[in-house]
Amino acid sequence: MHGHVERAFLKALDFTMAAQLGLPLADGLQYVTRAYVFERDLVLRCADKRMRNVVKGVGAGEVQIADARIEPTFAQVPYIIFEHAEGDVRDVVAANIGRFDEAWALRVLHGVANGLRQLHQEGIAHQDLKPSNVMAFGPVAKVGDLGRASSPDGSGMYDGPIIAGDLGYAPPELLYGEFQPDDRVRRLACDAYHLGSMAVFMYTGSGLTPLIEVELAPTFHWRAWPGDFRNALPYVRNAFDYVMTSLEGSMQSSLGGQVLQTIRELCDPDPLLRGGGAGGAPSGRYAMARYVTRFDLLARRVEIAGRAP
Amino acid sequence: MTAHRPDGERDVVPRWRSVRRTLLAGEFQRLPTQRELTPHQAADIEAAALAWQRDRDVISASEYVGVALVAGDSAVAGEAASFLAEGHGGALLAELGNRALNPSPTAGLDHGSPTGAVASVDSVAFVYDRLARQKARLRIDPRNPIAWADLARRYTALGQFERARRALSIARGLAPLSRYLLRATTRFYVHIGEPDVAYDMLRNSSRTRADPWLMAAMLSVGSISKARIGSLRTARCILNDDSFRPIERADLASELATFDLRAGADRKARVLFNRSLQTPTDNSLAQVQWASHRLGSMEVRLDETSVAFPAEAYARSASELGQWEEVLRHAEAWIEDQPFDNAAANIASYAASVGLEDWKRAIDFAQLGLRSQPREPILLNNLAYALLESGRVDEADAQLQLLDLKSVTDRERVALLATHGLLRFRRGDRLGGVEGYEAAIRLARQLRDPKAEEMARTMLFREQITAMEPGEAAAVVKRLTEASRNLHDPALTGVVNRVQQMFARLGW
Repeated sequence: MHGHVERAFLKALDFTMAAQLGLPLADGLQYVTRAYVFERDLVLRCADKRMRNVVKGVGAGEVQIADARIEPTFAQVPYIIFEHAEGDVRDVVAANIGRFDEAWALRVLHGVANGLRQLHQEGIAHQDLKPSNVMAFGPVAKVGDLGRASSPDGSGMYDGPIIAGDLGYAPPELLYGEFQPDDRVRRLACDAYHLGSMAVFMYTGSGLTPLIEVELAPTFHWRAWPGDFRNALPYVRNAFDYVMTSLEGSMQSSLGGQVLQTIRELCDPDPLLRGGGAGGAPSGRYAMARYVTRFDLLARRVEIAGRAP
Repeated sequence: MTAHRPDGERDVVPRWRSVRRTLLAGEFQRLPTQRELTPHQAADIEAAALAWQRDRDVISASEYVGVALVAGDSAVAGEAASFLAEGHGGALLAELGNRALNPSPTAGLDHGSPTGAVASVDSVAFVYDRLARQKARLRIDPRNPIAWADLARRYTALGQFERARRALSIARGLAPLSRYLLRATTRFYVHIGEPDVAYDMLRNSSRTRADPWLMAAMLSVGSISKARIGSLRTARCILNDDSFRPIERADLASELATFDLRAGADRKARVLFNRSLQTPTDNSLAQVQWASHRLGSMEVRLDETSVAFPAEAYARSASELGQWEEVLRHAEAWIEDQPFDNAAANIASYAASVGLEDWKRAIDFAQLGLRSQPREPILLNNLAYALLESGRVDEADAQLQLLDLKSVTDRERVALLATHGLLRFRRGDRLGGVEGYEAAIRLARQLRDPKAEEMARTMLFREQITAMEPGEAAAVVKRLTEASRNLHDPALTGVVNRVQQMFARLGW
């Protein structure tokens, strides 16, 4: 008999999260359970759709822990099994400090843009793209952790105006609490920003939002600003421009300003001006296909230049 | 004869500075507010802290410092920031660590020129260099309204008003409700003599009726353009709204006080001026300094107030006391802060001429002011006067030819007539010179301006002294001395003193 052993990654429901939510425990439990069910369904749906740049869920279920010390409520632990990655891109970036591989960085960004495109095609916005959620599978990068994604039918945990995603990587408009009435704009603009921020990370080791924060006087910081986002925007943009100028001098890119120009488009502080083709419908403006092509092209250029004698 | 009128009209027209200076001046101060972090956000910080404790590498340090910076609490990640600052992750992350360790109240605003000023006539190259950098910045991001406003400020300082108008219009198109831009635009329109446009803009802005800074600006331009102002009741309501800090209401209090002063309600004006002094802005402080001329017992203790850019108030105060070197020192700071403010160049050229007889500096300051307002009559007059005193008669004549006499007020005309008289004297036309000065004296008398009258009389006497009989000259000196003593004007006293010395040197 031939045996086939495949390594996998198991993600189990973390009940301790329920206690960290600041809700009564029962409500917290209900919340994390709902979140788990939502993520499981989404992961399996993505697997069904054969999304090649989204980390594949290969199974899900529940395991009964036979331990008398554990309350029955917590003894039934649901889990999701994912295909096994070599690690997230942070590990590679950390290992390569001082030995920057631009072709690899652009290939990662190409994979991430592709993952987002595949999700968007199904009406799903990731909303929590960050380095720890980008997994390396050899030369291929895939997007993982759909825990804060929006669902196509609007039933997701993070479909409302709540701030989705990691605070350290959040787009400015969400920090200042701007609520875009068009939820496609809200979600897709967030993903576009996260992709641009991911590019900043690949080149610098930091996300974009902290770099903007250090160029922003404390008076204009989102936690101190009493007005709305639109009134803070001129100062946020001013800070953003200084970050871009600073990156121009510090980013090790052989492509001139092309990567920076892409970051600029993806991360414009105004979500309504973000992406390409400003002024068009959200589906066109934030279309990831444009960035899939662009990162592919840029990666090829660097690869070809690297092969030249 | 030079001119500067410390007792001329003044309103609390907004200052127009860089965002950095506006911030330092207190215009962004609010009652303290702090948005709470959501449990998710707090959990993100905790997770990053745990990762840093576990991994202690560049990426975990960067993520921890990053999330702490975004949370507005970089101190919690001090250890990780120090790790980055040591350079483990390269120059950019080292800078991130350093900035997290040493947060600055003007972070992000310290780039480029510290002032954007035109500190001396020789610095034209500096201004053009800054202008070029500003344009380069806009080529990279033409959506940056602050950069457009900075460009407009530099154009205004150079007197290129149409370019400035266009730049400001773009800036306001990009951020129509920005208070900073509305106030900057207000100052611009006042500068180019279109206060009515500024008034309409502020009256039509939805923000004005709920914002003390904009309300103060609207009242000031309404006053200058002599508009019918229907918002005084709203303005007084805002003034009494304790949800604003005292400094946010200082400009409004002093502008309303100015309205009361002009209406003859001195007691109410005094109360409001005193209120504006609780936590003044540099502008409200200068307004009280100006009003102290008109309100008895309204004393301003400049040494007891603390504002970021007090130069105008200090320059005015020094001028009243005849401390001319001090006037120049503070006027320079004032010009550096507001390079297009002709009042600053005006007071400086006046102090250099009348107070110090330093014709070189008088010429420099007048030319500096004229760069931003090439046809400003008092500056042209002061420049011509200083040139005449330097023996550069043809140049002085050319400056006086530039004057548009239709735009000159009667009070300004007194100085112009006198300077024309001096020009005639320097051309050897004694009769024409006397006619010019006498016309100035007649007009000053007509305007009931005894200081200007005596000043013109003294200057005329100075030109005629050598042609007089000793007894007659002695009598005039005596009369002028008495007049200056009665009028308590340090500039007049200085000029009369010099005439006395001239008389003494003649040895009659």
